[in-house]
Amino acid sequence: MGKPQAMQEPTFLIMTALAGGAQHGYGIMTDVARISEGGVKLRAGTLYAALDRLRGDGLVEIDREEIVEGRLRRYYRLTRSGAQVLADEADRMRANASVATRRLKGLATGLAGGAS
Amino acid sequence: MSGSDGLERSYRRLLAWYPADHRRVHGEEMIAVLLAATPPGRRRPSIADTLDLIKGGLQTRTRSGRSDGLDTGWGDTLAVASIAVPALLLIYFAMWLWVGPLQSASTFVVLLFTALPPVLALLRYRRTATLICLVPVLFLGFLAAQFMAHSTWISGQVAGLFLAFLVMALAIARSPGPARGLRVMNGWTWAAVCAIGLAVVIREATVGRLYVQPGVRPGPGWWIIPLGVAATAAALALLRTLPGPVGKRLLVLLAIPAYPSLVSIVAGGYAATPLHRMIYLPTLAILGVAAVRASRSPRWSRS
Repeated sequence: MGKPQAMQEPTFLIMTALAGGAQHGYGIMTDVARISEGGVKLRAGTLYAALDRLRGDGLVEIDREEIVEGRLRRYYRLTRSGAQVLADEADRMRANASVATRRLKGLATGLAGGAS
Repeated sequence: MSGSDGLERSYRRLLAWYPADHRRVHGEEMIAVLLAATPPGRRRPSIADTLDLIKGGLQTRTRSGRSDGLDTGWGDTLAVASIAVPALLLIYFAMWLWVGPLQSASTFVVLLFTALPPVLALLRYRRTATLICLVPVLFLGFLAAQFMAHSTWISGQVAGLFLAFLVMALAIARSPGPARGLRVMNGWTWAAVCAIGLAVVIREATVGRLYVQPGVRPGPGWWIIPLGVAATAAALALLRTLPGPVGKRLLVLLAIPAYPSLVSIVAGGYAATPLHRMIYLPTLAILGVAAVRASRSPRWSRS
């Protein structure tokens, strides 16, 4: 099996939302908006497509189901392997950000030197 | 009709873009989420929500072969296999306690190697569960190789058990696990699995016993008719009780370990022609395809 592909932002944010504990669909949508500071607005179709795939891959599972005001509410949680994949992705992003930061510092120094 | 009723009906119409299986599992849940996310006073779905649902529905319909939810994809098939295959093996090995080749402590060891993996997987020790499955795989693989190299006798039993443990290892390693399988299965699915197990047990306890008697090599006989009828009924029951393509795919997986036994029965236990010595090739090819399909299921999802 080849190297895993980088996770796309909505998937990363959904898993990050679930890293805080089991949540239902609408809870995930609002949490993703909060985590991304309004930058990502998930819609139901996108959310459930992502949840289906994450469940199929064993990264997310159903925690419990409730009926609230006559409506089905299904809670999802990260699996152990889901938490590991999220941790790996966070490490990868951190490493990339670190390289970017270091190079930007070098670029800023170079620009400052060129300007003087 | 109130505004919220009209809105709900509009959302339900949009969910028609999704496959029926998906709607059955997620429909009510999605309606609840859509209504909760709609600003008060809105009477119709927004254009953005409409396009998002159409896109999601089309993606779900065209994502055949990928694991995506309760009803579709190899994820659920392997999840069901991760509990159904050990269940079948347990029924089969339980027979050995009173009839069969191993009426000794060995039977309990085999039972342990069969029962432990799904239990460990349920307790989330998936890696350990897979490794335990691989112990009988290696042992039986060695035995099968010995038969292939040094004997004209082909053992459908050894080959079948080798492949059954291999399927079980694959299912436990690559699926969402037995807990998911238990959720997908219902009482009738269990009845079908038990019927398959009992059909094999009855065959082994009657005709199969003759093979261990010196000089007796019964070919296919009358018993193959009720066995075939029982197997067909159980297969139809699996198709009817498992959602979406899960039933069909489970039958493909179960055919992998069943195939060598069938060849062995037809050949009367002997490799009458060189073709019979190729007993593993078709079934290994199917297993290879299944493994490739499972491994292509992306570890990291892309949305």
